[in-house]
Amino acid sequence: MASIGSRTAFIMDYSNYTSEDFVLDDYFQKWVAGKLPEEDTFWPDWVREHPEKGPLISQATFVLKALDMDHEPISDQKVREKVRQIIDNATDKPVSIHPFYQSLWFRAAAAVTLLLGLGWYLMSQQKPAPMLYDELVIAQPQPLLEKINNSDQPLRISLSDGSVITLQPNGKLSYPERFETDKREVYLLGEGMFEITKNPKQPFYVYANELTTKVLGTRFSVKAYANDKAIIVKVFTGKVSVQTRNPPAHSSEQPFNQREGIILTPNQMAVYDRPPAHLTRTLVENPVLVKTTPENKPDFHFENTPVSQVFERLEQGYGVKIVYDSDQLKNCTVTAPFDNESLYEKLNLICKVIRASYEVIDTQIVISSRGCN
Amino acid sequence: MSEYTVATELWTAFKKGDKEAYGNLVALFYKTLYNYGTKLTRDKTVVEDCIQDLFLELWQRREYLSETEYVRFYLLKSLRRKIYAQQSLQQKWLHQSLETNTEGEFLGEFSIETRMIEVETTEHHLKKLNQLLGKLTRREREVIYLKFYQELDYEQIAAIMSINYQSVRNLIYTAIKELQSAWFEE
Repeated sequence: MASIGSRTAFIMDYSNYTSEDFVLDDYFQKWVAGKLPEEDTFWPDWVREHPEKGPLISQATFVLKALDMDHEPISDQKVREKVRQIIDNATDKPVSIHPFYQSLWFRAAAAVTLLLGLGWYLMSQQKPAPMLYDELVIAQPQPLLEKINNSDQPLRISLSDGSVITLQPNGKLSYPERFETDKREVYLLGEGMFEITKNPKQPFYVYANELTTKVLGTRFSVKAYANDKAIIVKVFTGKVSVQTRNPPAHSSEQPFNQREGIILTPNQMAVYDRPPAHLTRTLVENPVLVKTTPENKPDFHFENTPVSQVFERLEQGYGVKIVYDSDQLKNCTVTAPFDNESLYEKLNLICKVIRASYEVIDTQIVISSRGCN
Repeated sequence: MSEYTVATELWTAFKKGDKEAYGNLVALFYKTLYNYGTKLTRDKTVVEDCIQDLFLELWQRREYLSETEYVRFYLLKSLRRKIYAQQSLQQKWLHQSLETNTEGEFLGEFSIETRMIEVETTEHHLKKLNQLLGKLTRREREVIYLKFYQELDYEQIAAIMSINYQSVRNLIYTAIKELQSAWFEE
């Protein structure tokens, strides 16, 4: 299977090659892909010596270019981190493999990222946010284990229930050695990726400063940026409940006496501003498809489709609510073979076609249009 | 030295417990595996976890692994199995129909506009090409990917996708023939 490079070229007689043969030839493929070293001038020479083969070569090049695909980018930096992580985790303890395996399967349950910045250094004149983490941890009656990540690498922590938490540098996590039977509670300062095993009888709570995030099931992320004084919870699938927490008595200068709580469904996010200690709900910046399986991937190919149906398809696909005046838009149709564009890209195009505009108000998308004729 | 020789040497050294060779092997194939994995599922964390899981297992089972010339093939195949196994388990867990095909979609997309400007093409060619590429099935796209991007041979592709050798050949030939027809389209 290895291409032996120019050596092959000397043995091979390409003059009887068909276009398919060229397409399937490793050496030719490498040339078209620009993977041959500059010194290797076999193909340019060959093409020059065989002008009659020009059309064949063009056709084969055309097909090969067409067959190239788009690739998900990953940075070298990220690759280095991942490789390092794998090397660090490679141990000879066969026991460690099983829980990790399991947690991977059951990770379908929940993935939570919690981020808590370490303070807004540039604005050090301002009163820093209270160190709620320490207060919370001290207030717990049962002894807690604490992991502090002082390294510059993410730290993987396994909990007794099989959940795995990857704690970023400068983060702290406190958790009991064994969870209580009715609930699982952990305390976080800093940033962490949570992979929570699902157990409806034993809900999982993450306490991060003023916010409590309760996992009702499936997948979501929590990002708490202390530096812009906001904590953000985003939901991808399933349901998540987010509540503000009553502060300990001695930090009562904070003006929230009332607990606020909201439930988030897919593509919604909660923003908690601290201060003014207020919890609001909106849509995430980039809503993703909900409940997608390969079998029922929503079809966004529209051909003269009434816009009401288009919106309905989008509502179902992304689990969002789209509000519009159906009377005004009754003559509008959309023709667009949508595929992997984001929801907002799709909306932009649709709005262009039907001469409309949209805005996101609360968790709804509101369309205003002058109608179509 | 070609990738194959390098990989085979690293493989042999890693099997003997050489952690540095192991690290080099991971580094050599991480991007390749990530590239393939992200075509099998949209969830990048699943891909990352499966790759990590795959390599950690390899380390633990290193003494029992056999020698292989085809490291790339072996790794791609194992990753594919892992990702699909996880998807089917997730589906089971979500109480979805168990009869459904456990193979997911294949996410490799052809977006030709940028690349085709390098060769002589007309708008008409592009239009026709887009139509043809859009019609390719997930299997055809995966075969094309494994053949032209991962540079595997027919036998290896057949083994990875659990289809027979002849089907792989046919899928590729049909796809090439189709695309060639776009070239003659005027």
